[in-house]
This record gives sequence, C-alpha cells and structure tokens, in this order.
Amino acid sequence: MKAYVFGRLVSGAIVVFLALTAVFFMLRLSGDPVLLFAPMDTARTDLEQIRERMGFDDPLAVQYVRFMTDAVQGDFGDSTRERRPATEIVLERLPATLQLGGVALLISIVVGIPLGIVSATRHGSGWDTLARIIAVAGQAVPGFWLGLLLILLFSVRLGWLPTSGRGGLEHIILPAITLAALSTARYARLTRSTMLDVLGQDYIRTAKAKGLGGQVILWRHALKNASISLITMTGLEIGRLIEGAVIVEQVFAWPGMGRVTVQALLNRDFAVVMAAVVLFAIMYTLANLLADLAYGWANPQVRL
Amino acid sequence: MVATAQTLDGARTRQNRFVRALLRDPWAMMAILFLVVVTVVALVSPLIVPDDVNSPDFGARLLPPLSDGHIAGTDQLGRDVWDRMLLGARISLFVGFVTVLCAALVGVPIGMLAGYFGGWIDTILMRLVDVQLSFPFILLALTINAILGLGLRNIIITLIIAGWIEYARVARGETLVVREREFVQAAHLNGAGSGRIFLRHVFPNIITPLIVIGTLQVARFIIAEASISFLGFGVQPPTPAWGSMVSEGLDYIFSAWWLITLPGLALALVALAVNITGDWLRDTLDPRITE
Repeated sequence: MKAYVFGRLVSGAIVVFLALTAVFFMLRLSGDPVLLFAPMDTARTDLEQIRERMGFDDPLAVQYVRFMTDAVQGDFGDSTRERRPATEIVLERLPATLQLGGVALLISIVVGIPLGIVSATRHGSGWDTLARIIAVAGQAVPGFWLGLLLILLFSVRLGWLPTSGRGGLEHIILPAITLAALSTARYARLTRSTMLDVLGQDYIRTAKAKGLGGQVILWRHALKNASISLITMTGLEIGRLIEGAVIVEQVFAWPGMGRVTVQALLNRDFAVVMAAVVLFAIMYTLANLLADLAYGWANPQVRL
Repeated sequence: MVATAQTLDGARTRQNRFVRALLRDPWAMMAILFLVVVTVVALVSPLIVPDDVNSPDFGARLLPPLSDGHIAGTDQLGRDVWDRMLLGARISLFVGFVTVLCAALVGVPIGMLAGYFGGWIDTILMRLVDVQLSFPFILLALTINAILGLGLRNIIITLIIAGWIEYARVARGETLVVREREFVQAAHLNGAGSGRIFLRHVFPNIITPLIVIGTLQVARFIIAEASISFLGFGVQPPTPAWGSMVSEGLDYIFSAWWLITLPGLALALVALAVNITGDWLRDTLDPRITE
C-alpha cells in the first residue's frame, strides 16, 4: 500500500516534469520568446534589455537546465505584470478555487445521487424522466452560457444575487450552481444505472423473499453496493470540477486559479501560466490518486 | 454468385435494422433531422446571408428580436444577429467535424501501432496519455492556443493537438483485444503482412467504438471551441463564431439579453443533438460499449 502510493507520487512527479518540459520547449520554439513574454506594446530597445535580463540569449540547453532547477524549487520567475513571484500569485488564488469546487461538489452529490435513486426505484415515472432530461441536457449546455443565463435571470432580471466577485454567501451561489450542473447530471446518470444494476441482483431478490421492507433493502443492501462506483466517481469528479472552474471563474470574475490562469494567458504572463500549470497538474494527480485509493477502500476485492 | 447475393442481403438487412432502430427512437430521429438541417443551412449560409453582414449599421443598434426585418434582433453595431448565427453554424460545425476527423487520422494509426507492437511506441504513447490526463483539457487547449496564436486555423490545430490522444488511447485498447483473437493470429500464421492485418483484420473490428467516440467528441469540440472563443482566444471578431458572439454581448448583458441567449441556445441545441445521436449510435451499433 505504501509502496503503491509512493509509486503513484513518483509517476505523478514524472508527469509534471514532462509537462513542464513540453511547455518550456513550446514557448521557446514557437518564435521569439521575448515577443511572447513581453507586453504587446514594448519598445524595441526594451525588448533587447528583456532578452538579456531573462537570459533568452543563452543556449537552449542552458536555459532549460536553469528553468528546471528553479522550477523544482517552486520558482517560476516573476510575473511580468505584477512584478512579484508567480508561484505566490497562483497560490494566493488556491483557496478560492477549492471553496468553489467544494461547494459545487457538495451540491452535485446532494442533488444528483437522490435524483438517481428516485429515478431508478421509480423507473419510468415522472421523476425518472426529469432525471434523464437533466442528465442529457447537462452534458450539452456549455458552462459559460449556463452561467450567463443564471446571471441574466437572478442578477439582471430579479436582482437577487450579485453578478460577480467573491464575498459573502450570496456571491458563491450562482458560480457553484453553474459548476455543479454538469457534475449533478453525471451523478444522477451513474446512480441511476448502478442502482438499476444492483436492484436486479439475486441478493436483492433474496432480501425481498426474506420479507425485508423496501427501505431496508434500499439503504442496507442496494445503496451500500452502489456506493463503490459512486466513491470512485467522486475522485474523478474532483478533477472535472477543477477543469470546469477554469471557465466558470472567468464568467463570474471569481478570483480563483482558473481566472488567474486565463488572465495570465491573455496578458502573455507565462511565468504565472507555468506556475499554474504545475499546480493544476499536482491537484489532478492527487485527485486521481484519491480516486484509486477510495476505490480500493470501498471495494476490498481490489488489491492496490 | 451465392456469396455475393448473401453479402448484398446482409447489407440490406443491416440497413433495414438501422432504419427500424431509428423509427423506434423519435428523439434520435429528431436529433439527426435537426443536424441535417443545420448542416445544410451552414453549407448554403454564405448564399442566403447578405454580403454586408459584418458591416455596422448604427441606425439599427440593439434592436430586440422580432423587430422590423430582424427576427433575432441586432447587436451593438446594428448587425443582424440571425444572419450572423447562420454563419456561426458554419464555423461551429466545421471546427467540430474537421478537428474530430483530423484528430482521429493522427490518433488511430498511432494507437493501433502501439497496441499491436507494444514496445517503445507504446511506452511513449502511454506517458503522453498520463500527461494529458493530468491537465484540464481546456487549460491544455488554452495554453497551446496562446502559444500558437489566435484565429480559426490555430484553434483547429489546437484542438487536434489536444484531442488526438483520446483516439490513440481507445484505438490502442481495442487493438490489444483484437490482436489476441483467432482470426488475427490465423492471418499472421498465413503470412499476411502487418499492413494487411491492420487494414483488413484489425481496423474493421475496432471502428465501431471509434465512430461512437468520434460522434460524442464532435459535441465536445464544438463546445470547446465556443468556450475558448468566449474567453477571448480562438476565433476573433468580427468573424461570427457562436462563442465570440456571446462574448461580444457581455457588455450589453443589462440591456440586450438576446445577444447572449440566442447564440448560446444554438450551441446547446447542436451539442444536444450530436450527443443524442452519439448515444443512439452507441446503443444501435454496439450495446457493449459503455462510457
């Protein structure tokens, strides 16, 4: 078990290393790096100065080794825009993203799983139809558009909730619902299909034959077994929520990692982009590891 | 002669099965019909839309839908929203289908090679899969796009670079299974070359899951392009892509709801129709496949 976790962490580190290498060479080989790094309106003489200061006139191999040595220590250079360490800028935004993602995950579990259960136990009912519509529509509606529709309705038309920013409880409602929408659809869909699967098993029939009540069968027998796939999915869902946050944060001006990354890309502030890429990769690797560990925990037949 | 007749019969039965399956599923039929209509509209849109669709008309700024001559209203520059949405269909569908096709053309052969021969090509591929799985797809696409530069051509290249690995992964997995089947082993023992085995024996047996995934990917890529263009990368104004139209409408969210709502609705409907079609294809072609 320890060896397994260690092995996964090592392979995660290798992945981060490969990703950094890829971004480094793409940045250097796609043209003059100074033009990429400098703000658009920099004068030509300043460009030469920047080239020297950032070491772009050194051989590529030297630049690569220097970049990697710094990166291992968490140093990706200063943001060209804010003139302070890029790592600091990105780490500051981490809590906001974790908060948004956490609330969204909570919403999708609390809404999605019951919806899936009702949909499976009352197969073919109105609830079932509703759950299936949500599952299909949830996959087709683009996150940025759903967010804007919610703003149009609840902020512009009704004036109940703020359009953007981070602050009190009222600020997180719309972004969290937007982010949770896709997740909720996936939870409802998986819960429904797993429950239908489990409810058709022999031991459920045995339980029924023993004369156990519907509630006991549902909670003690069916849901307990369905939870294996739900727990596994939750690990994967964390990664998907991080992905969704990139866009949702931009729509609601939520000051998280996704927004800071998109802004940095728009400003060609690649030091910040690099730091963000690494932090995203670490979060993803941890989420995937968590998913595997949870799977092993929920299903003792699997040996890690 | 007999063999030919049988083959023809087989093809006809399969066709009938397809049509019957479609008739049984009204949602799938509506989705496919909708996609056909949108595709035709996209193809002929340059003919029906006036030439000056991108030129401003300041006398007709921000007219609401159903105003005189403007069924979907006009935008902040007085341009007809409906006409621009028709042109936007062209971009969305083009991006969706071309990127999926190109990503498959790159990914499938590599995945088949990796699955069949294993070795270093397999090792490299699986490492790439690991790297890709440790990033949000959208972040990968945004970074590539920021480096390559903006515009329609670069967004297509971006999506191909970010998307081919998915096909390679699936093609590899399927090839691993097919490789062990008797008919492939038999062909090998019969002295068939690798190229022949690939084209005649492996490929036909892995194509079904690839078609299903490809269909679902079309929706994913269409939404990805729109999201990227919405964020200010990808397709740039005045080219009317649905994502950038929504983004242009942002400044008028308090006064002109239609600028945001209508292009987004078109996007959601097309993605929905593609997804329904994909689900239906999966159920009809191969009930084995699950996500």
